[in-house]
Amino acid sequence: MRLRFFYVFILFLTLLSCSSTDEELGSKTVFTYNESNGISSLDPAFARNLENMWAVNQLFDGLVMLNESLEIAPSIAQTWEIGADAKTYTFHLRPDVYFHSDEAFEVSKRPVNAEDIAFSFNRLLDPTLASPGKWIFDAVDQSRSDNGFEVLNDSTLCIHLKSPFPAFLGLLSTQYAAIVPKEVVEQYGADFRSHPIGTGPFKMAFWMEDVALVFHKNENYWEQDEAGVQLPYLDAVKIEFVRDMSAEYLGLLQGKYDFMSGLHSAYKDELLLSNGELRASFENKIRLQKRPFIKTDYIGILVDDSAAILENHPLRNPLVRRALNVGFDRNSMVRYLRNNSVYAAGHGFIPQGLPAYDETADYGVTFDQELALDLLREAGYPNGEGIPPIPLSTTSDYVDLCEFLQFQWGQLGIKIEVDVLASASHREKVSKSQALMFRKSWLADYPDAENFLMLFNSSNFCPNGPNYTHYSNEAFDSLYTEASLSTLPEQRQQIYRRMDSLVMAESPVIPLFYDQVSHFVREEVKAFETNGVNMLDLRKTRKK
Amino acid sequence: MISFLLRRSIYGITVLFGVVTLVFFLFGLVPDPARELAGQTESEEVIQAIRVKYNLDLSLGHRYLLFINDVSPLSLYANNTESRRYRSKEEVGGFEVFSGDDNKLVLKAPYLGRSYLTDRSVSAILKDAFPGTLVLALVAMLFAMIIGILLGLWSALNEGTWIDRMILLTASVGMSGPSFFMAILIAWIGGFLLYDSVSISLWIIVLPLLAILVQRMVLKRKIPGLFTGSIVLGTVMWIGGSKVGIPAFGMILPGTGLPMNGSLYTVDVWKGEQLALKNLILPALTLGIRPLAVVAQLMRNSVLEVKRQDFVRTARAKGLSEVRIMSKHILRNALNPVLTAASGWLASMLAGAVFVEFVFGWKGMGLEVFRSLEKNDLPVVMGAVMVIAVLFVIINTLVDLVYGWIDPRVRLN
Repeated sequence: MRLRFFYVFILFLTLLSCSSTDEELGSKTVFTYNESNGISSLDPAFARNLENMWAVNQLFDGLVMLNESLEIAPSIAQTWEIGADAKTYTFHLRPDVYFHSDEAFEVSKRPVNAEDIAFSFNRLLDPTLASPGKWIFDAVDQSRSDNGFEVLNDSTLCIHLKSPFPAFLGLLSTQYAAIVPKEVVEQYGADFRSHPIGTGPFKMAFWMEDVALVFHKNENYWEQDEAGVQLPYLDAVKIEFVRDMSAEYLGLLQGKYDFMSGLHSAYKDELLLSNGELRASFENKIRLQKRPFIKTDYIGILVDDSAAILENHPLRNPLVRRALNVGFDRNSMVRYLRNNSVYAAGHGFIPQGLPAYDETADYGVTFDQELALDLLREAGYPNGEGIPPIPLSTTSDYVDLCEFLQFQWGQLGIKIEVDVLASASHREKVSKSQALMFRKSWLADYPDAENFLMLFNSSNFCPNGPNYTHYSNEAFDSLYTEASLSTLPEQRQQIYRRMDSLVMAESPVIPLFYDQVSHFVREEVKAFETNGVNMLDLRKTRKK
Repeated sequence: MISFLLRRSIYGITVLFGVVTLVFFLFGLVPDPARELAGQTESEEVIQAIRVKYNLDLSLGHRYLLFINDVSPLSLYANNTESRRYRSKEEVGGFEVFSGDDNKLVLKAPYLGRSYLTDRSVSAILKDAFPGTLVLALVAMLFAMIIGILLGLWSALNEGTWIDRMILLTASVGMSGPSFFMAILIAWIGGFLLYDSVSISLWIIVLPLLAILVQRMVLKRKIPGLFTGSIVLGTVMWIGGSKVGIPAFGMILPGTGLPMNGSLYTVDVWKGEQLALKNLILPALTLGIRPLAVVAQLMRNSVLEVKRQDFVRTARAKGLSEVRIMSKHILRNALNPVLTAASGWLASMLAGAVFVEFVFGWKGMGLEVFRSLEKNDLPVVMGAVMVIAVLFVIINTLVDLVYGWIDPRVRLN
């Protein structure tokens, strides 16, 4: 007793002398957020995850961008034309786009020209750079001497495709396709990652790796609002790298951070009611902004008939897979494990938020335990008899989902063994087709259902493509080609829906849920919008 | 002396070589991170390009030889820029000793390569992380030494009294608390509970002080339960007093204002890098607690032991003053085992106090090793392991030298 008081007292005295000094910000507005996963590079060629993409999006621009409703909007390219053969794209650049100033430039205001675009795109293709974004130009006719990027004049660039690819502009809106200046890239080499020079609304100021990253407003940004006021409104952006999620949550409550993204077990029950709404006590302090995030979380099942581990395995029977697909309650899963902050995946693999998503479609995957038992009986495994225990590979982040499935499928008589692996091992195992059943998610690279359906195209078998289940169906493949040739968007969506229903009928994947963008934003932050690919766009954001 | 240092260097290099080889080949067992670096699409072409970029497509033995070649001060590189043995000159530095038709011999500082994960140069990463660990370890050690030696001395001089018992008890608590637990506890208390200012009643301070004073000055004897009782009474008057009209004499103690997370430097939005010493307090306190407890106990036992030695009695018989006996005879001899223990601690602290750095998000070697292990980032792990191994060897050598200086009986041989 005595000791404890003595301790507390000593601690008080020790700490009395410490005072804090606050940063004097004056009237300048700084937008601050935390990135617990860290940022590995500011080079757009390595913008392989959301963390990097968000930062890169502040510093760089592409030819085009996605607006809030996921439509292609002009950026550095003011206008463009698509040739009659749907294979040539001609871009006309804005004359008033300048790179941030840098010592490497000979002039103080260096304008962007078509050569820069060609340089940036060719750089991405360079095998020595080993950019994870190289694939975005797979559709480009790289057999040409200019790799398919033809510079017509200073302000005009023509891109030649191998064959029509309707989603191509979507690919150009990714951060990989951001425009970088040749002089700076050549001067810094690999260290361009920490000396990023682009044309974006903010420019690099300070980066103390693992501590904080600061961008300042780009005074020469090309964009103005409707009233002719120069964008961006914010004076600076600060990103901190605190790993502890509860510290991030506290920072948001204290007003240190202006927004926080996503749900984490460290705070989700404190912030949200079980119906997914924000608790009333946070009213007037924080608001929850949510919208569909084009991402599907699913369980994949290897269906390759030639795979040795599948020999005579009950999972080869589509009836068994369908039984699994209807044999668990997605709504409970979403309510109890995700506080209703995601959407139960009851309508196929194409997620909510894409035009091809069909709310009314019934792909026969609604929870129905009786139906599941009937299907098993029909398949010759009544009450799961004769089905060996099935290993389900996952990373540690999703064990809760897998245990939920283990319980629900257990009620059908199917035993699941959850196999928790480190991320690298899990990916390795899945892509080498060594995992019979695995948890994975797919996030839209570009907002087109084709990006999701490519997971079932037989030419994309892993390890050479993302068809991890080795699903193969001739009818599906021919629809796939038909869709890529179709120039009418509505017709394409219809084809995509048919393809989705084909996949669901054979259930090589079991969609769990469609993700949701959940942004907790401080009330003083205005005009903070996001889109279905969860892009961070601060051009028009204001702070009171 | 020279032969001692020479022996130590050979020993050091052997240790370094062993550690490096062991870690390198252990890493051969885990999958390489190329797939993780390839993004969601995992195109096999990109994975292959990443493997070539970092030599991951070569056999483990081949990579090991290339690694040793890079690390060794004298290395062989091909003149041909396409060759895999070549690194760009700016990256490696150094100067050519000998240049043949195909190959050249380069004398240079060890080259540690680039991180797989961030493509940042490993020497830059380590240069960035090391000061944090160094400052944290030194401050924690300084804190532990000063407070620990004083406490130990105080305890020994009051042998058998309640002061002695209390210090001993505190020391055993400090020693037995697991460091990750202590780190979380101290972060929670210092950075959360006491973050904002608290109002406490004067009663809770005045009454216990009064009780001590009365015991010491007036009664000159100890009354069991008086101190505890005064605290209880103080609490009752604080909480219950206001209801019956006794003023609480509220006193506002300022909060610590100490962050639960933070590194040696922070970044100011307009001014850039700023030293943030207040971030140092909680982690240094946490890291220092265990060595403090050890030092205090060691110091106490050591002083007690030396105090009973014949030469102290002789000194006293010679008529030396107590102060002189204490400072000249007892302290110097008693410090010997304490210093040895402390330097051992310092070495392991420099190796990165992984738990403390992790809990407080303190940027340092420990956190860097943790992160790179988590991501299979071999070059960073190898770089950190080498730095830590070299530090261990250097510190142990220094300790031996200091030890010999303090205690002439253990001179070098």
